[in-house]
Amino acid sequence: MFLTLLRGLCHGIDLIVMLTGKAASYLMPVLAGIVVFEVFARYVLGSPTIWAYDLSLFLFGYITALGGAYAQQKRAHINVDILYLKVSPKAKSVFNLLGYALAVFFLAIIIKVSMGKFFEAIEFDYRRQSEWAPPMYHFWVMMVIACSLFIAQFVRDALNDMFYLATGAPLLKQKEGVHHGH
Amino acid sequence: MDIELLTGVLLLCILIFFALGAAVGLALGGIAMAIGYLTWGEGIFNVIPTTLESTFFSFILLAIPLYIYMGQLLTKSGIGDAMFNASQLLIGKVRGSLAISVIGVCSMIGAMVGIIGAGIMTSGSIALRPMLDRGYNRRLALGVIMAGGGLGILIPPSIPMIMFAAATQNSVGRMFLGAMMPALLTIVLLIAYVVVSCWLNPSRAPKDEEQDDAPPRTTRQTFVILRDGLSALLLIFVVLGSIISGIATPTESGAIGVFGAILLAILYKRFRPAMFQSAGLQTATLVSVAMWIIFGASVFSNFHLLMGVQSMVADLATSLNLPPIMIIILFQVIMLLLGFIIDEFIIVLMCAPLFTPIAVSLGYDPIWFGVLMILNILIAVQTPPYGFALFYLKGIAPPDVGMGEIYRSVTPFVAVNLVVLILCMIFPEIVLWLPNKVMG
Repeated sequence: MFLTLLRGLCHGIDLIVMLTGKAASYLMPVLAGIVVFEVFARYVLGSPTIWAYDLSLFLFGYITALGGAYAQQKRAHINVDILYLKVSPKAKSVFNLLGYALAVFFLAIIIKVSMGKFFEAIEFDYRRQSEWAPPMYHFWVMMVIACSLFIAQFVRDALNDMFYLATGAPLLKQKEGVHHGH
Repeated sequence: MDIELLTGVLLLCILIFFALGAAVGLALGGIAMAIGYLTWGEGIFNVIPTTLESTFFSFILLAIPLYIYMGQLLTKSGIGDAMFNASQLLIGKVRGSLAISVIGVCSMIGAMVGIIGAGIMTSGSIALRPMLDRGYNRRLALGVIMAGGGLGILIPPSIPMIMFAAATQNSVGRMFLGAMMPALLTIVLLIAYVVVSCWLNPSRAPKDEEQDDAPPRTTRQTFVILRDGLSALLLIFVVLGSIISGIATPTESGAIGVFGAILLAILYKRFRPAMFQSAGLQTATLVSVAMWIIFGASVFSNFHLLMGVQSMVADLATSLNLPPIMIIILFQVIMLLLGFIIDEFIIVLMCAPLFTPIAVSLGYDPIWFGVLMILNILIAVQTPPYGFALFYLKGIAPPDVGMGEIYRSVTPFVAVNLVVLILCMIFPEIVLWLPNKVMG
């Protein structure tokens, strides 16, 4: 029963992180399209837009921040694997847990400060300092969501490693704990 | 805690967590915040929002996703095959022509992709098989792919150069121009090495007998090959030209490049909506990885700068009482050593803000120093035993190629890079002539 619950949790996190990551990646052609349009508007139409600059920067932030958890799921984040590749699977799990703990600590601080910035942005109506002046608050909401997903993915991976350390068997059937690093 | 002790503790923590295989960007940020909290208190967390705003709202860094997207689209568009065929049409009769084409084509593709790993993977997937099939010496084949693919960070548009410019407030255009002559010099020397070594030892690059027997190409085939090759060159020319001439910012020229890559894919009849999306997903992942590293490393380096590391390094540099050029050499040795274990992004992000102001205060040009930094990284990542580019090469090599053979295959090419580095150090005009000429 407990195991089923644990597995369900892991699969649920996997699914949400994957969907968010893929959704963020759909913004990539949009981002490119906006900058291309701005170049076209500026040099061909002779009338630059006021919104392209800020909008492209926001999209850039959304794509990169929200993609972080998905990259972790795909083990795409770069690490130094000189020693890591040489140790036993159990030691790998211990290494993972230490690394995850530090990463979660950092992400938790980002969430904390982003919440602070969010309330500030609402209270003082902070905006980008440009002609278009879009509001800033949604960026901080997005940062909180992105970092929470990132933490969720780390928790899911940590559960996997702890289960393996405790029982010697993988928690999920096809364990995706293979590091590609570089 | 004084800055020397603090620096020691930070380096020790980095060493530990990197050895554990932690994700480098998050580890750097986490270490800085943990040590900062213990020595300074909660106030140190304010580094995070300012760093977030300066990295995520940087118009210069926005060029990175666009160049990576262009590179991803190009690698799927068949541009590599097009350029490869076109160059064979031109120099197919020369001994070692395939290897020469690889250097030319892979350096162009590497340039478009802008990251060492992707450059080598792409080059390898296009060019390794044709060389091995025609009986080329394996070491020569692997070596030229590494040399060509790795060159990508030296040839504009290069992602590490954009990072350098962003981290030190220098002009990306100047940086790109500064790297042009060293890049050309490297390409010429690499080709010279291939020609000479094939001439001394003809068995390394057998001439293609079959090709001579094959029926001559029709005019139409020749036309298509030339058209495809030229359109690829035109795209590279437009992207670079628009930055250098000042018509477009690097970010805008990246967008033009994406547009051009799509046009090329349509021209080469490889355009598929699915390709568009898979390139988008790969780009989003790569950019996300790069930006989390940039962000984490920037938090680290902003914290470290806030604690006064700048004056520590400056004091150290003056107290050593070395002539200025020795200090530059010392910096380079440090970057080379770092490059043996970590990746190009982190070296630029950690060393650029630290070393560049000192180099400038010693009377050197920041662009010159930046190009030296890129050259150092280029050498470091290819140097055995742990240069990480070697592992990419191992990844694309035939399974029976051991690490030892990889090491031997890259050695002459690393030596060529070293020669270029030394030349640029002794004659700064190689770097500075072009940017001064064009941009004044």
